Amino acid sequence: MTLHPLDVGIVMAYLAGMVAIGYVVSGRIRRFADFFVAGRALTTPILICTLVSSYYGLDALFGDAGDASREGVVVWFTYGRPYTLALLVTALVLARKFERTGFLTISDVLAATYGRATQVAGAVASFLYALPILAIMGLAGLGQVMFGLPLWAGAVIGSVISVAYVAMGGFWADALTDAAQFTIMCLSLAVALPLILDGVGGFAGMRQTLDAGFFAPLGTAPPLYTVAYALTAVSVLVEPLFYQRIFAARDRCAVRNAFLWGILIWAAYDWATTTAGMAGAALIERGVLAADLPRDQVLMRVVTLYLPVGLSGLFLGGVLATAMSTIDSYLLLASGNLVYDIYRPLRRPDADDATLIRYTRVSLVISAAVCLLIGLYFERIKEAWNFMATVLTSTLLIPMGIALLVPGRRSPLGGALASWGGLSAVAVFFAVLHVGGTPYAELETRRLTVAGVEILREYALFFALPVSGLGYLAGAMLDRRR
Amino acid sequence: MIIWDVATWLAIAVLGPGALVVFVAFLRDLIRPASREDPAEGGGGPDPLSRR
Repeated sequence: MTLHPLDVGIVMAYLAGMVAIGYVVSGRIRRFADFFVAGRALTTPILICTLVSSYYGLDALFGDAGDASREGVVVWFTYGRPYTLALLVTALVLARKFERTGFLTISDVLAATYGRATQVAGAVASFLYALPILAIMGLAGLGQVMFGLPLWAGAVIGSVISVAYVAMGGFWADALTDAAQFTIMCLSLAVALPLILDGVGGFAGMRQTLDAGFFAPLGTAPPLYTVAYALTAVSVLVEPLFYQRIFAARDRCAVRNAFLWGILIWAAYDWATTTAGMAGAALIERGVLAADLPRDQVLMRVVTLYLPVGLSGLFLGGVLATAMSTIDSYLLLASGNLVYDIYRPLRRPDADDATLIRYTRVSLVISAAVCLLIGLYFERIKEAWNFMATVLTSTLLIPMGIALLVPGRRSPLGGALASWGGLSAVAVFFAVLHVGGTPYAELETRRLTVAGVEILREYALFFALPVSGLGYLAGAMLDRRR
Repeated sequence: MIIWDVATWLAIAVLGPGALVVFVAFLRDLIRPASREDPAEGGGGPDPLSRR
């Protein structure tokens, strides 16, 4: 793909603008709370922008479109809407519990409830989850498509720019750049979708081409597989990115309203990617697109087919914004986990704000480097998302759920065993599936048959959550005996 | 198929004009310096999208 010099100039100006924002807001940074939660001063509009653009990365854009091109509307109804329910719980129940609590991270909540062991387990899970490996991989692919850059070069340039403005301006820079990125990513889809829909003859045209299963809200995959995927929605309840924004909100009304608006925008975004993915499936059926086209590339191919020059550039800008808004936010989170949640309690409990800010800036570079090193391990976007969401949920759901929703005295040992037990169970489950499992081509996953029962990689949560729950019960019993 | 098409146009309305409304509200906050100060330090103006 060859870009017009004007398109290239716009992209360069966009990247320079991001760095300039980081430089300008760096003067606002005095305390660590300024750097990590923007001085707890965010209002509803900027919270909407940063929630939507940070949480939805390339996995939501290309991954969901790819899944829809294989499975149809089930992606919106059955995989997506459990997230809406979890987001409503976050908006209406969880967010109101944190007004003026002084917390900065999800691990702060765990530390206050259970102590240091659970705090560190939460930080480790949050760090693994927050590493924006998918987004950096996607950015590398984008650099290849847009500028003909080698994969490593696109990944390095994108990471360096993200690190640069976040290191200077912290969460202020992140949130302000998110506002621009939010607008670009939404508008690019809004412009592309009518053209795509027109190109395939609307839903009536798709219906003539696609199998009826594409229009079945519950889909045609094995029920347990579908349930397992829908269950990943509980990761929303322990999503560190959301907690950071809850802590950064000016008040609980601002964050509640931002979530409610966000839910509407996320649902619209999901529908847009689902529709575009189904259009891609119709084009594959008609022989317009290659049958062996990798699913994660379907959306991009559809876009290049129907969008004229100029609008293609806008769409690519939207893709770039989608990736970078995720990379900057999650890099900041991962760095905060390393410094504020792990290094500080274990090595420097007395570290002052200036030290924390300095070390977090260094940690941004380290986190980006770790992402670059392991970025090519996972073959498919949904596969990596499933792994990371499982790690986070297995480690944090039980201890956080008890901390926030169950009244009475909490067990420190229970919290530690629940978090470390959940984390270990996921690691063991994935290792066993990796070593002993076999590929399951139809669902693009791995499976292991034990005593006649087929276990898919997506079932990890069914094993890890009970381990975590039992860990809490065992710890609580031991605590009581003591 | 009409329902699916209507849903798609609703999505387009949210992602296009809807996103622009949010961005304009963000800009209004941005150009009103007091609204972005830490409320603990005495700042804070009305939040255009916040309905209490």
